[in-house]
Amino acid sequence: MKKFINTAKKSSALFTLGLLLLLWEKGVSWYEIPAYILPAPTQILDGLLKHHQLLIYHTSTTLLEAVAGLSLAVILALIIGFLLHNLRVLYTAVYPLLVFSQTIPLIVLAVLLPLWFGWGVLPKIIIIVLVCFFPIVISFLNGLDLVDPDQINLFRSMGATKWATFKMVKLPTALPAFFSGLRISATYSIMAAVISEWVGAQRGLGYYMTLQQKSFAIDQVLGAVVVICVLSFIMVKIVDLLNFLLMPWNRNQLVR
Amino acid sequence: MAQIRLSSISKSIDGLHTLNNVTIEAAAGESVVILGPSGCGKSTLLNILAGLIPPDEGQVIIDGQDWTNRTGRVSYMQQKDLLLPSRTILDNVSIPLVLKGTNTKKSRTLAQQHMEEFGLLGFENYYPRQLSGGMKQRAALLRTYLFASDILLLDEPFASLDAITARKMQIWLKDFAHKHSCTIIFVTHDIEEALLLANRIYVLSARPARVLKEIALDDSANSTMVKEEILSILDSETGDTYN
Ligand SMILES: Nc1ncnc2c1ncn2[C@@H]1O[C@H](COP(=O)(O)OP(=O)(O)OP(=O)(O)O)[C@@H](O)[C@H]1O
Ligand SMILES: [Mg+2]
Repeated sequence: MKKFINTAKKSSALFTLGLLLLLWEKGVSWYEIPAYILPAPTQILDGLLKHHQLLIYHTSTTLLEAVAGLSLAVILALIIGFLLHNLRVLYTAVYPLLVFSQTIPLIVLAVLLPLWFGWGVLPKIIIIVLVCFFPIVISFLNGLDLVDPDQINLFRSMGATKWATFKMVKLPTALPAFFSGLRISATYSIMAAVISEWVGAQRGLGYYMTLQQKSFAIDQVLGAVVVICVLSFIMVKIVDLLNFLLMPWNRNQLVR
Repeated sequence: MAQIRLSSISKSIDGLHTLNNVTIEAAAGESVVILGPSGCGKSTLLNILAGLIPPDEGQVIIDGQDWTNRTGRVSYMQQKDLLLPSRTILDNVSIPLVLKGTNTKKSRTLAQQHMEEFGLLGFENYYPRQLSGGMKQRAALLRTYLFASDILLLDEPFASLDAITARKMQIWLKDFAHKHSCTIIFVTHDIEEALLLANRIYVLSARPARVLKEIALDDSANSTMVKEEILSILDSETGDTYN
């Protein structure tokens, strides 16, 4: 019974979603809204199925950019985080600039980068890296500061090198914070890819949406939106899985 | 000759005069207890002995060598167990061996041989948060022992335990130290604990700490009388600051 209530609780959001979709479906047909203004959910689904080959083609590009960009952002955040944490001079010189860089409007970069790096995937990946890097590096740096100084002293008393202390004490302590940053970045990654494609590209979901929008195929635009949501969701779930696999000592806490 | 000699140690921390010309000795195999009121500078003294911080004046001599401001000779355990939550118990206790360059597998095998004596058999693959307070302190003790088995610095190791568990641990430690002839420097502000464990007790004053009295406890010593003596020393010195 308890289990049943739990599943019911978990699926109650799905129920709300279903209700909203039903309202949408009935509302569109009741008020006879034309499909080029607002298509019904079933029409969007139809469109998705009909054009699935084209969608898969564009999705693969977007996904590739997002994964590449996010991976690069992770590598960069780990390296920069390590350096900033260990070199206080660098920290004071760079950290404020990092925060300041977040005030630059993304859309301007999306317009400017292709001028400098062409219309291929490179400017897209750069934008994704810029967007995803910040949340990861900030939470990683905060996580590294959470270490108990007594723990460091203990390692020092045992003659541990700085690197051994970093690897055995600091890194594991910082991992949960690192992952909460990564989780945020994972949701941003797909969005950043789509925005940069929207501004100018030859492939990708963002590009596909601009094409469809120009020909008033609103069902196709919204179909792409559905794909984007699903992709972002999958990215977050992959991060959660990594979190689970890399921190076996934290597992019980995660289940809760 | 003394195995450990802290000679005329003075230290100020942030302009606060903490240690005032403290001299403490321990012979090999001896259990020396440093007893002093809260905040008098006991941990500071052990930090100096472990080489974590330099004294303003004085020297740390171990086995005739100068170890002032040098780490790596003695093992050190604090009130907190400081076990790494990310490692299993076996991997936690084998850390000192790994840090000394032994490979992981061999370190585990070596550490495993001590699990039974430390009452940790069967808990090798548990994480620290899955263990009771007493077991965590025993794991911390084993980690300390595996770093340097001849000299153990213990800074209120049982202060976080409940009275019954603490008592058991004290008796266990006494037997253990006797069996393995470890030299132990034990810091506490609990007189009963000091009386149970010590061959010799140094009574420290309130900050800035100096040695008020050195009391040898041989088998003939009457612990009730020693207790009275310590209390009267502390009363006359610090009034109400002792707890
Ligand atoms: N890192 C520090 N920064 C500033 N002051 C400190 C620091 N560590 C200790 N002190 C001060 O030095 C004095 C001695 O501290 P210490 O920890 O050695 O005392 P203690 O005898 O171990 O106390 P307790 O019984 O509470 O453990 C205290 O008054 C404390 O306020
Ligand atoms: Mg202390």
